[in-house]
Amino acid sequence: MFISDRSQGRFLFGSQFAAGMFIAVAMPFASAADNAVKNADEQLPIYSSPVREGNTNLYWGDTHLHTRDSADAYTMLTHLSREDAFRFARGEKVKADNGMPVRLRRPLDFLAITDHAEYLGIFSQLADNNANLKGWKLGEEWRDLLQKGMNKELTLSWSIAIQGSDEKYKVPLDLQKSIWSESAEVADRYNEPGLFTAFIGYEWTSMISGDNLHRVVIFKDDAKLASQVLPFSAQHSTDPVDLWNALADYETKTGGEVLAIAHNGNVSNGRMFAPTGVDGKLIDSAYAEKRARWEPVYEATQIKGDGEAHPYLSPDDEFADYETWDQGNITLTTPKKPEMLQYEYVRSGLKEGLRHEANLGTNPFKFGLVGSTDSHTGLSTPYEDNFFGKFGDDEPSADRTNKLMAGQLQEVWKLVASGLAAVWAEENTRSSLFSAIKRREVYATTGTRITLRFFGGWSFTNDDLLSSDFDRIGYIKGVPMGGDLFGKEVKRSPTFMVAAARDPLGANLDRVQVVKGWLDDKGLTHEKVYDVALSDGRKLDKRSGKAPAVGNTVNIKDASYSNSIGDAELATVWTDPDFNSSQKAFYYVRVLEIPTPRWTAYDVKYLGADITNDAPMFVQERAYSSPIWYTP
Amino acid sequence: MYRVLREPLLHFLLIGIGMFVVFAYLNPSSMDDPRRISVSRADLLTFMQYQARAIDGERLNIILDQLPEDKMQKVIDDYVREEVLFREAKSLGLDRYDYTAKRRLVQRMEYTLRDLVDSVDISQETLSKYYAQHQAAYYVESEITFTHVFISTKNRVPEAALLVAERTLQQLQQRRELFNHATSYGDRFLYHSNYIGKGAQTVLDHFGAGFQQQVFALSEDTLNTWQGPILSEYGYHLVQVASIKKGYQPELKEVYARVMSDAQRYEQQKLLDGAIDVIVADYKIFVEKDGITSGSGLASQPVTVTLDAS
Repeated sequence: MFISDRSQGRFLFGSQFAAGMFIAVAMPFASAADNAVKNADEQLPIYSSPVREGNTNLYWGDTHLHTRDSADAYTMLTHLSREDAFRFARGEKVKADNGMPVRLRRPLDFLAITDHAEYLGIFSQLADNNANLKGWKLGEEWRDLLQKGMNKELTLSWSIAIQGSDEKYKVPLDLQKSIWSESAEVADRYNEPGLFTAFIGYEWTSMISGDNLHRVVIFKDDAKLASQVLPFSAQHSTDPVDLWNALADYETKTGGEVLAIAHNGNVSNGRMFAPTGVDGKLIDSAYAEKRARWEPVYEATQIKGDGEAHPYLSPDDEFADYETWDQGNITLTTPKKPEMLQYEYVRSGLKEGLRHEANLGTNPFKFGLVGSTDSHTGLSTPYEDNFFGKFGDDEPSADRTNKLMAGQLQEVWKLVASGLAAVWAEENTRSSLFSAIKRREVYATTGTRITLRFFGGWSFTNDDLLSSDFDRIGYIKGVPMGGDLFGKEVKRSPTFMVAAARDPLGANLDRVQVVKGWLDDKGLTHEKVYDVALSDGRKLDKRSGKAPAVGNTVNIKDASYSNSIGDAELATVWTDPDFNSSQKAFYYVRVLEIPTPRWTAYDVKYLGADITNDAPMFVQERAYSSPIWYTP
Repeated sequence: MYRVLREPLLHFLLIGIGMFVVFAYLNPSSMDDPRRISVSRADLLTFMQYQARAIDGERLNIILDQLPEDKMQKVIDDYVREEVLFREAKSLGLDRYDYTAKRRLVQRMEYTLRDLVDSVDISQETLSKYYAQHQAAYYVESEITFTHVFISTKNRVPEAALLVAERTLQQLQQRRELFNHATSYGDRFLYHSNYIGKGAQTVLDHFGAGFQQQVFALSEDTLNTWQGPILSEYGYHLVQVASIKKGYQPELKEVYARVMSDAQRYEQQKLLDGAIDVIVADYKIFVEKDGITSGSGLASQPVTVTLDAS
């Protein structure tokens, strides 16, 4: 009944499972696809987007990963180092903290290790009883807690201290400097232009009364530049404006480049895209300019929930409720209220951006989209069939799904095996990828490797779409994802060329959708989801306007599915039927796969887990493009 | 049955038995007496830190000094109560059944041991030997570089597609079209136009098995010329292969740094395993199967492993 398909036998929890968790080896397929890349000079002048000599290639990576150098990871049993994390990402075999040997079946093209700036690298030094800690009182106290195994108390104490501005909470300056420059040098060591990009990065961990405002910070530069400053931590300030100022100082001081990526608006309790700043004042044009300048992309999906849309905000969107986390803030100390949601999700944030732009002249929320894992295991594992959980503590085991994350938060079965950052760039180097992120030519997936092209222009035709160099035509006649369309008194509607292909090792596609948001003449925002390409020759129902469901081949017991439904590729040229040339708008693409087993189904089949009936057993993985904005 | 296990009365009974066992077997006069609890100032400070969920030792020191008699007694009582229950739980073996506690301790132990074997010097001889034993891990797979012109079968009947493919091939051959002009011909392919230095697995993933075998089987004298049509899952392909690098086993010096760091890790792990083996050897292991116990090992600490289902 369930047809065996080409994805069979590639699953991680296969028969090899008992012998250890070996993942089938594959070459990095997405690297340097269209241009031979020689060792490129890292210090090339910054790429200028309008002048384009070659086409772009697709690179896959993770911009948000933690290792034992993050204090919370360390106390939750993660002992894998930065070196281990880079080696794993590059396709080498490492031993996970649960003892399993692990290897990615497809290595990543790039990785940013973004350990928490607060007490970066300190806890592993506490355990090693490092001599550098002598004479630092807090460090000695923590070492005692650690030696007594009081990890929970240690974590609690740490979470209080990370936002403490008191001197006693501060790590001695020399120690901070040596740890930071050493961690930056590790990234340099694993960075191989043309083959693998290792970004230097950290995470700024602001969570005012438990409301998440975290940002990862990513440098374009090498250790020589990045070590000239120290990571900006929540101990310096919990206000993102101060973070942006610190990033500006870095660029002035060093001539380098840096950016910030916010994440988990879903646990910010209404703060992420709020109309007011941390100081309680309405955001102004200075705020809008800084935010747009320093935060070109947003992390739309990750291990702690998907953040594209919420069913309460988008009741007409039947796919809006995907891996939703809406219990409360990040510490679960304040429950969620419905009025918070509009300031937490990508779609509503983009709409808010249009509204602010009309008032302030600048759109503060003009962000592209990436996905990333935020794993704290040193292992970037976004696939349903190789999910290693959030912390060392919830790596694969029969009983992990019934534990609580970090021993006290959400049930582990709620964790999401997500996501990935896809980047369209000329070559796999720090400067090329960084520039692509800055111009927002990136997209997010929930862990799958769907290939997605999206161009906006005024005159795309079906012939363009069918042409073998359609991407070149896309750049010539229009703008790629992340770009802008302008027009005054335009008579015609914009056209969009979109082509999506399934993950070569994954499931077929169900549909391609365009999500449009716009600001009407009264200053109110709206949204609409269009099904623009459907698999299996399906047509929209004339009366309801809805597409019939694609079906479901998932066999939960076997943790299997079949590509007997859906299409390998969906592509179309779409013209906005409701275009109004006087209204600001944005358009982004959402691609849905056919249903596939969720990681929980693999845990049941291969680990013998006994999971609550509340846990979903299949998902429809997806990709979210960065938007293209129309401005009259 | 399970309800019985949750009875508090039963728990007290078990605890009573546990205390008796402890009392009977251990020497009450020893300083290690598990039933003797000495409460030091440091113990109390740690305890208060734990209770207060705060780590400010200095402040707690002052608080401790200023505690009135009765409050002080309360802290001591609470500490003693916790310590007694902890020891009883341990003597009942409750820690054995807390898998998380067990794993955490195991990991801490491994970590402590790992510190002892931190740096390992590898001689050239050891390195060569290691490489000889692990050659397969460094084998360089075959790689291919090619471009292709794609003729889709999606909107054509197969015969028509084949005809278009053959006609296009003729054009490409007659014009001796260059590698980088391939994208001026044919249809949009769902993945890439050019594949640079890709392994068999990538080609398999993107085109399917038949195509992969045929393109890797193209002979030397077809390089840099247009070949095909080759059928894939998606249609016909006209290919121009620039190079096929056969897989090979590299010389050690070519992969020196990688082998060195792997060998170091390997030797460290060996030392660690050796250290653990020494500790294990100090235990006597009994394996029970089908009611028969067989034992081995040297000394003091018996470990019994039960394999039968009952």
